[in-house]
Amino acid sequence: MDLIQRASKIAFNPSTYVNIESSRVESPILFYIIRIENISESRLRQLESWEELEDPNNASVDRVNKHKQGNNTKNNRVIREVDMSDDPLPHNNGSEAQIYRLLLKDCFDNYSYGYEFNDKLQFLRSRNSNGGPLPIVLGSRIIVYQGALILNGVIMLESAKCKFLGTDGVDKGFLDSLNSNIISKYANALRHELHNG
Amino acid sequence: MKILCVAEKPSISKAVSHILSGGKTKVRNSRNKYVKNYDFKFDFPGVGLCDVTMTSVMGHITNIDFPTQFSWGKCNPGRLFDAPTIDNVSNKEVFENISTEARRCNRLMIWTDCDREGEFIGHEIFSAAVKGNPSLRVEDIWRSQFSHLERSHILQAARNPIRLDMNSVHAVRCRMEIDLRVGASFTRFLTDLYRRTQVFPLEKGGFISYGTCQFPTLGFVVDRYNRVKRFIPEKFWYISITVKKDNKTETFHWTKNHVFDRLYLALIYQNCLKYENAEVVQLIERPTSKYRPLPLTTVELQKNCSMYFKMSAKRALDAAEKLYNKGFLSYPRTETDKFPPTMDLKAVIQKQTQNSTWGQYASELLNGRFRSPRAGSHDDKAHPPIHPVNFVKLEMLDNADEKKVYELVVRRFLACCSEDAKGKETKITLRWGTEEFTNSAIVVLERNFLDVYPYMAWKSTTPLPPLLRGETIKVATSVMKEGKTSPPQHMTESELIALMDANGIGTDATIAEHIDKIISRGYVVKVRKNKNDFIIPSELGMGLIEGFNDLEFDNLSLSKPFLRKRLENCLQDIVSGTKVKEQVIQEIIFLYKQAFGLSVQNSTKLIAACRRIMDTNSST
Repeated sequence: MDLIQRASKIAFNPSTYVNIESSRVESPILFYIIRIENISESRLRQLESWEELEDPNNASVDRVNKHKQGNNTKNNRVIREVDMSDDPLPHNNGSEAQIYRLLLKDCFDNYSYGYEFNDKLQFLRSRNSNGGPLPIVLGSRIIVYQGALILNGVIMLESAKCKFLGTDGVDKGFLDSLNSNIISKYANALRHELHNG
Repeated sequence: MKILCVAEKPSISKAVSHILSGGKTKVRNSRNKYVKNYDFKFDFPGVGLCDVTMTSVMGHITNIDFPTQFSWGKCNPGRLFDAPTIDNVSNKEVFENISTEARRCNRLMIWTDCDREGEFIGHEIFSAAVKGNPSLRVEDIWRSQFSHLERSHILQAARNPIRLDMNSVHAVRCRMEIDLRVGASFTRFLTDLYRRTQVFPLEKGGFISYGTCQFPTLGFVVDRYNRVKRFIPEKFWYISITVKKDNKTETFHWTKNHVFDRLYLALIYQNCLKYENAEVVQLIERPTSKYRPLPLTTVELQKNCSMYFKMSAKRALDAAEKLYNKGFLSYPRTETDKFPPTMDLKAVIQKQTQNSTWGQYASELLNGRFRSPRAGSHDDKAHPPIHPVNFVKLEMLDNADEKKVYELVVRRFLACCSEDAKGKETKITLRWGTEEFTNSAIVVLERNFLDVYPYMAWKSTTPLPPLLRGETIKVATSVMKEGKTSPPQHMTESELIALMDANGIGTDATIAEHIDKIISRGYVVKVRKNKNDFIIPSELGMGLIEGFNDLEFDNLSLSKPFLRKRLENCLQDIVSGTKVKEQVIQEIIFLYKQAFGLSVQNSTKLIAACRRIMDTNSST
């Protein structure tokens, strides 16, 4: 039995760990990534980015470093804010500075959260190979290795303690249902969260 | 040989004739009380001593319009996209003065401002001259190239004329025709619609004016207003720690700034609490600088005047124009932010040594502290950055705006020619558990350009405690803090200028006019809040933009800058010779015509949006 097969046999039920301040994953677990969320950026700002994708005619650019203004000649993007400070410092708001939260599902339909922890997970920072708006296809698989930190039932994901596997062809129906209409799904979810606290 | 020289404004013709004649001019009146004709002699290279008459226009002397059968009420506004146009003489006295003076001249020399509009006015002058003297040919026109009224520069311009740039003439003509067709058709359509439905009380004779720049400009203001109104604050959380050394307590800031997820922060914080101490993982001491400003462009001048003096873009440009006409400043309409390598910057500094406030600083620059200015990336190939040309005492200037603008331009120029301010930055990063916290301090060592440029500030901060790299220090306090996001600010004029510039709306020279226009049309109002002026839309302005936003334009939105930007790019193509006027008119008019058709079809939506805004406002 290879590692993936073995990992798919292991369940992770977060409620078992919820009152344990700190523990470790005991053997590799296979998860599906159901949703990814950026926790470093306000929902409103994220919503604006999604709305830009929803209606390209209303597209906008939020922040433009004034040194780059002249080069920003892409059609149909309205620049809505310009840095007016005397010495604009490079804003560290690229994908490097973001922190992501992943909603994970094991092979037994247990849901749990995983946070990026301590270092940056590279698979969340590469362009989606299928050209979608998220860095990965939802429903992609990840193996969390033995020794990964669990804080109160939440898995803290570090590069050395997990491996991104991408999607598995046999999951096509599952992948389609997660990724269809993703723009309006994300935009609607953010609108809902904003208006309902 | 007799040469007729014509400038764009009376003040320029007076100043140039004074320089070329060495002060020996004979002045004759024209039928216009502001325009004088100056007679003198000048030795043009290759031609010899010539009789010269120098006169001027006062801006445009012709305009384009529709024939009477296409006037308001006599035709469907949609027909104006294809209707014929006629050229009218808009300033008869001045036009005829040129025709009369041209009768006996052999050659025409154009002294209008060196920009696109100036090139076009040069061609209008030619039309007037050729009416009086049909032997004149456009190829024979001398065109002087000048950026300011300094004596040697003007003499150089007189001796080295070039040709009138017909591409620029065509570009302006193209812009005028498109503005006329689009402006007139939409203005008539909107006004009739608003009058008919009485959705908004228009004063008698009042109208809803549409302009291809005005509306996108208004669009920015409405967009910002809506974002402020729709803003929803969100909570965020962060960790802050303090350490204490040598009786000095210092706060360090979380390098992750803040997160919008309380659970994440609680887990991280709880995990860090296992550690009593933090370690100094990075201690950087490095020289740092505050850069001297870039050479001054029109857009920067307007932004600065708005920011530092609360002076509107129009007032700033008006004051700079007056100072240029009087010979104190270089031409104030420029996109260039680098000085030409041949320019004698020290000679400009020399003239400022007489000033009682900054003269000493200017002298120090000449005595070894001079530095070559930084070079920006823009060059309009026509004018250098705005700089002082001649010295004048501030008290000799007419009004407060001129004084402020002159002082700003001089100080900016001296700052450009100075050394950057120098300092030392200390940055300390602590690691507590898995998290890093940082703080930095600056000591300003040399103020340099800041001494002459009070508009920018840079101050030393409190020094950090004397920590060493690798040192372990007890975390004195640690807290999980909560904050919330704050709404964007309403639009300021300086930001609007920057946005128009960044989005390619208007040129540096016309930005001020467009802002002024949306204010005078009542589409926006200026409000003062906490000593700052903000521009917010009126009900009418909101209604108009929301109406156009509700129409399902496909890349043609009339409230967004794309169409106008496309026109500006096409005009540039005409100037560079890659497109011809007729092609651009056809292409752009086709697009606006489509947008017009869509607007007419959906006029109920336009009205509904305005009603919605008015109802919402009256209910709140």
